[in-house]
Amino acid sequence: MSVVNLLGEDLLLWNEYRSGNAGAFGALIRVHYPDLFHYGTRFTRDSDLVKDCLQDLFLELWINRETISETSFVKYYLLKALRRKLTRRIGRSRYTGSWEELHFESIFNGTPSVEAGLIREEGLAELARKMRQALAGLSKRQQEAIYLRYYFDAEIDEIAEIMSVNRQSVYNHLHDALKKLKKSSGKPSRFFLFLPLL
Amino acid sequence: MSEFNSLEDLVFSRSFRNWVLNRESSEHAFWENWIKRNPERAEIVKNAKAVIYALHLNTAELSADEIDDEVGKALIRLKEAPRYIPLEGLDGRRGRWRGVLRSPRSWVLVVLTAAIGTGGFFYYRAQAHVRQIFLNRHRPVQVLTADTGREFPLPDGSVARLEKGSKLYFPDQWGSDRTRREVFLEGIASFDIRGNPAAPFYVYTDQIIIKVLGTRFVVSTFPADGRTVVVDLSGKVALYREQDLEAPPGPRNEPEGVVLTPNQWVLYDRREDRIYKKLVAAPEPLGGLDTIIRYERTPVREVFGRLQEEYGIPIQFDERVLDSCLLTVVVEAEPYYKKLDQICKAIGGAYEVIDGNIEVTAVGCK
Repeated sequence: MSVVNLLGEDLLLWNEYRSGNAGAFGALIRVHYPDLFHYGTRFTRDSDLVKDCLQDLFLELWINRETISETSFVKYYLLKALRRKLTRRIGRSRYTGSWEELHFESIFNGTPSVEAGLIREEGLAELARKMRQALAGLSKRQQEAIYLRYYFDAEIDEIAEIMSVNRQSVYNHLHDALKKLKKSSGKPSRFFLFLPLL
Repeated sequence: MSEFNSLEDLVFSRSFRNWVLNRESSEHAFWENWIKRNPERAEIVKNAKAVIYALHLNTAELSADEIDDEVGKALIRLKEAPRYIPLEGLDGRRGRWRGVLRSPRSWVLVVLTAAIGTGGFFYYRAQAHVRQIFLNRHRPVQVLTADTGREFPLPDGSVARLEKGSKLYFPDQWGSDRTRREVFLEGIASFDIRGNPAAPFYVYTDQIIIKVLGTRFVVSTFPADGRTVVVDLSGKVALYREQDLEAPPGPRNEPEGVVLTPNQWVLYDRREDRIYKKLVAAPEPLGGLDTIIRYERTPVREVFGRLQEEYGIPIQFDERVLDSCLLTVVVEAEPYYKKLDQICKAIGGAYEVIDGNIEVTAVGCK
């Protein structure tokens, strides 16, 4: 997964796109497609639905190109837009007709997928299994916050923006999640004192 | 490097993660050393490693081809967007490039920016290298810088339109070496190249070297993530990687490069060092005018030949199989792929886009 920060390049392409350059738009969506798809498939196993949402998103972005704002965080802007779109597509309740919270599907079920050979240190594989269990036991929102922080290097403000929640709750999600992870490592250590997060 | 005091400092450090997941990473020495110097943090390190292993996901990722297909689809749909004002070529900026694309002279549009980020090391090295080749050959150089988009005349009569913040380097003594005209580009530019078969025009960019063979063409390169996209809309354009130009020339005494014909585009991925050749989402006829053609008992070979001529896109088919096919069909003025559909339907065949070419399969008409 590409998590390279291409801020400068992104901005250039973004501004080109906003002034109607279809080539730049193509390059822009090409760059971000893998991450958007990855994020999208965290909410549903239906990958065609995600592709579909992305197509709609791209078309809307294009139609509205002149009114789209300047942003320095193109990737996060796109992730947020995709999340909104998915909420509308799959979050609508069949019964009440209202929009419900999007469910971040637990990605941490099962055993860690790292090849056993890579984990050479004694006891580490076991510890990783424990951590995996702890991750699977986190709330969806905690999992999503960790995922965005870990896979997309998103800062608290950006996570808040993508998930449409306030900064404090992101902070709490991450803080609580890490607390649980630390707890599950078993041995208490002085380094598990809560040092300033992030 | 900042201090790593807590579990989260390590887990969310990209450098640490790279080292944990890839022993061969360039950060290896740093982390081995850091761990030696901080024995009291052994426990945190172990936990951080466990978390990283635990976070590792084994999700299916899309292949480059699948992604390209999706992007291609999206670009086709742009054409259908209600407010889309169809213009010639890929570039939809209203009016702006219309004159350019209709220009009797040839234009190259090149967009290039510096890539920032990890993985940029090799990229940076290559970038420095191409630049060096250029600078070694040409000294002193002149630099054109654009604060806002504007056109600059070049010594050979060509014109470069530089976009905001772009730079173009060209040799002081252009006239002395008449066998090639070379420029180095940083940023975005369109070139209106005066055709001169005796002195091909080369655009050096950080990632790829573009050589203009023909006289009428439009090229766009949009690099991102170490990638360059070059689109050819009308004419022949050759692309070379740095090593192609250094390698011994091929059988025809020409360096091995990739030649684009109109309506083809390539995506060059510097880090994978791969070139993906594609067709543009909505090919445009070379003459700019779309025509309705009525065929009556015309050999299929001729129909495909005409289409190939009209769009410049190579069409491959088995001549032996289709030789007997006579076609009576009206090819309407409609999008290229619809035309192909129409012809293929008439011969009971199908087409595929392979490596930027059209490959038609059909059982024949006997």
